[in-house]
Amino acid sequence: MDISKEKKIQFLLQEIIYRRNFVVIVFCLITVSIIFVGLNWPKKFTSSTTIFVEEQNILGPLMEGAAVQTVVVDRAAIAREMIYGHKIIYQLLEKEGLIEKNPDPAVQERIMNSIKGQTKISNARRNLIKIEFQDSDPDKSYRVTNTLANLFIEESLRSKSQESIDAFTFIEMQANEYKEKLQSAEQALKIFRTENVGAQPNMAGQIGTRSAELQRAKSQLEQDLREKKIRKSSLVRQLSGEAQASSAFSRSEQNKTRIADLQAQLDVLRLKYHETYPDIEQIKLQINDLRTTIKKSESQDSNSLSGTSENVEYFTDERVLQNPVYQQLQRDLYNTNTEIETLTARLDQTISQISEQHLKAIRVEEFQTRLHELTRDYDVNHESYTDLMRRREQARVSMNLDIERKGLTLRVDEPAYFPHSPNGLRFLHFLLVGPLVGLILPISILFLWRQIDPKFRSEAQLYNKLGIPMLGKTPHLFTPTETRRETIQFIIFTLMFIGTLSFVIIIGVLRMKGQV
Amino acid sequence: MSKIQKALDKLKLSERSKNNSKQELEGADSSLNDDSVEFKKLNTKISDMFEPDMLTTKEKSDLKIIDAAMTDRLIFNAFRDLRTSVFQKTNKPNPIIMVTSCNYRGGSTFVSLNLAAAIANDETKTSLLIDCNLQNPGLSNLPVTKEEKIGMRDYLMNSAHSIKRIIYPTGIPRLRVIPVGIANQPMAEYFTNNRLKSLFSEIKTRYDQRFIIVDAPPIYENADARILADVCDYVVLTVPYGKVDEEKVLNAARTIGKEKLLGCVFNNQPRPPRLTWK
Repeated sequence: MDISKEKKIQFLLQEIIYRRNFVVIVFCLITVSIIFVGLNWPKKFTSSTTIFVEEQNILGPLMEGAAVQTVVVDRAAIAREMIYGHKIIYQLLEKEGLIEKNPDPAVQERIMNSIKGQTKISNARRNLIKIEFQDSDPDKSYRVTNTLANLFIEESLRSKSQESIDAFTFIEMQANEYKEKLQSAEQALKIFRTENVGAQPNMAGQIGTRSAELQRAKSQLEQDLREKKIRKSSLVRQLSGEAQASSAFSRSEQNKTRIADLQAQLDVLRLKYHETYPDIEQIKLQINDLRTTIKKSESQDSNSLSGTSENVEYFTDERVLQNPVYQQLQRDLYNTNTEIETLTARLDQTISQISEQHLKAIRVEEFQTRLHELTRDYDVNHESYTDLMRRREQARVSMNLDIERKGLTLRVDEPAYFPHSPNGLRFLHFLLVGPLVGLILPISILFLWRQIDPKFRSEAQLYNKLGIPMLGKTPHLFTPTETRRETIQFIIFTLMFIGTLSFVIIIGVLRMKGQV
Repeated sequence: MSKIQKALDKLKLSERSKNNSKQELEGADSSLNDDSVEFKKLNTKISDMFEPDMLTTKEKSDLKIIDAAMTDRLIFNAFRDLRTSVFQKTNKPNPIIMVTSCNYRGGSTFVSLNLAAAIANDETKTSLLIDCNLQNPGLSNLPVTKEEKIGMRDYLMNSAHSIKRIIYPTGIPRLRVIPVGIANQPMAEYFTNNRLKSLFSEIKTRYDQRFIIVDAPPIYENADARILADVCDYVVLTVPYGKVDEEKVLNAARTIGKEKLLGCVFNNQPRPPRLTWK
């Protein structure tokens, strides 16, 4: 069933006429109610401020690598968290005197929540944080916005510098710890070195060389010794052969020579001293002894010539002894013996030296290991310490940046302004909306009712829907009494309508004059 | 002023009582001929119909009856149109048209009364209005029905009553009325009586060009209405503005039956109030 728009409007008008009293009463009630609501509607003054957050400034690139810059993201969320935090709100309440001293926690909570509810924080642009505060008192709105912005800036900078200070303190603490470690490592190394003064890191090499030298010397000595021993055995063999063959100097000959020498000495002494000089007497005694000896030997020699073989051998020996070759061999043998003794002594010394070097090598090895350990400790600590020192300096610069407030720049971009005119719904809106809603609402209700209510309201509807033939339509017949009643009603409702409109106008005018 | 008014009222009352006695006389005359059952004889010219004192336009207005002289032409024309439609659609002579509604206070009395008045307004036709709403008689406001007079119930229950006795002039030319009557027998089945049929067939032939309008109770809640519908030639269904839905109308239409349903009258269409102070 399609009903044209005109028809719909016509039906609606018909319904409005049918329910005219309802329309007028609802209109009056709604209009007056809305106007009353408007009269009591709290005025809302909003003050706002924007804070510019600059994360990259001239110092950024300059200090790149040297100082770490705090990166701030989603500023509105962070700002909201911060501002809605207990700390800032409480400071605000205290600063603005919005709360009594030692307030009831429940009251305080309520005030805080209402402040939070009145505050709106948003990201105006990427780097702009907008703080808005809405209140019925323009002055309060202005003051609170200002204070909030300042508290927020203070708090962000403080927390940022606090963060830097904390970082610095931590790094410094670490650095100090490492410093102590390094110092103790150094001390340990020093003590160790003092204890091992001669020890050199490259000593192992020296010892090796020395050991090798000694080994070589030992081999050489052993070789020499072997040679000498062979020589000795050879000499001994030679000597035994020569003894039989050759004759050597006789002992008397020797004694004679000795006497001659002593005689010469005596002569010299006699030149200087008397005969009684002890030395002269001594020498005289010696010469006599020697002569006695010679005599004895001569007698022995004569005895030996006619005596036993032993005597012959003695003579032979005596002869051998007088033999120069034998003597030469004898000297050589003596020499060789001496050399053997010398070499043996040297070999023993060398062997002891080698064992000494071996012990030394073991000691050096231990020393090396220990030294290595200590050095490693020292190196590690030193490296860490150096790194920490560098980091500490970075942290110090960062901290100084934040303390000097050069790191993160937060500044009020647009300061809070004093709101002179209220925002939100104003009385004028209520004044205009009141009658409009008053008219639209009942008509809409009627329209909707018409749509929902399945009852017939036009003959066309009846005919179109049911196909029942129509004979006609009969409008309402007003009796004179009804007419009179309707007239009175009409006058009353018209007056009500006009009265309401006049009320709207009068209230509007009074409001404009500021009397309401 | 009020004294003059009272005097005029008195005068009117005395005239009415005179006319009533006249009508009774006429009724007595006709009752003489009644036994001969020659109704055709009675088909006297309409112009010869006895009319007691007429209702004024104002009186009619108070009774919610249309009048040719009324200023509210809208309603007058609406009923004239309705009358024309009825004339066009009825092809039987002297049809009995029942007016019923879909619901209680559906405006059947108003429509039937004014339809009858509109028909009677045509000088060539007469109309007879029968109040068959036995439980809630609708036509009790007319001056003629105000006083308790015998009517339908009496006729149906008592065979001694003649038709003529129960037909009354209304004060509207060419419009007669049969009131509901004074007999009151509880739980009585008035319409199952054969006298209803004989009554209807008799009144059909009583005058030429007579339209019999039956004001019936709402069709859906009353068996009387259904019995009446069977007896009547046509049924007019009144549908009040914004009171009934599709189901009710369809049920009513189904009960009546296609062949008898003359059509619907959409009643009580809202209109701006007439503002006069008289």
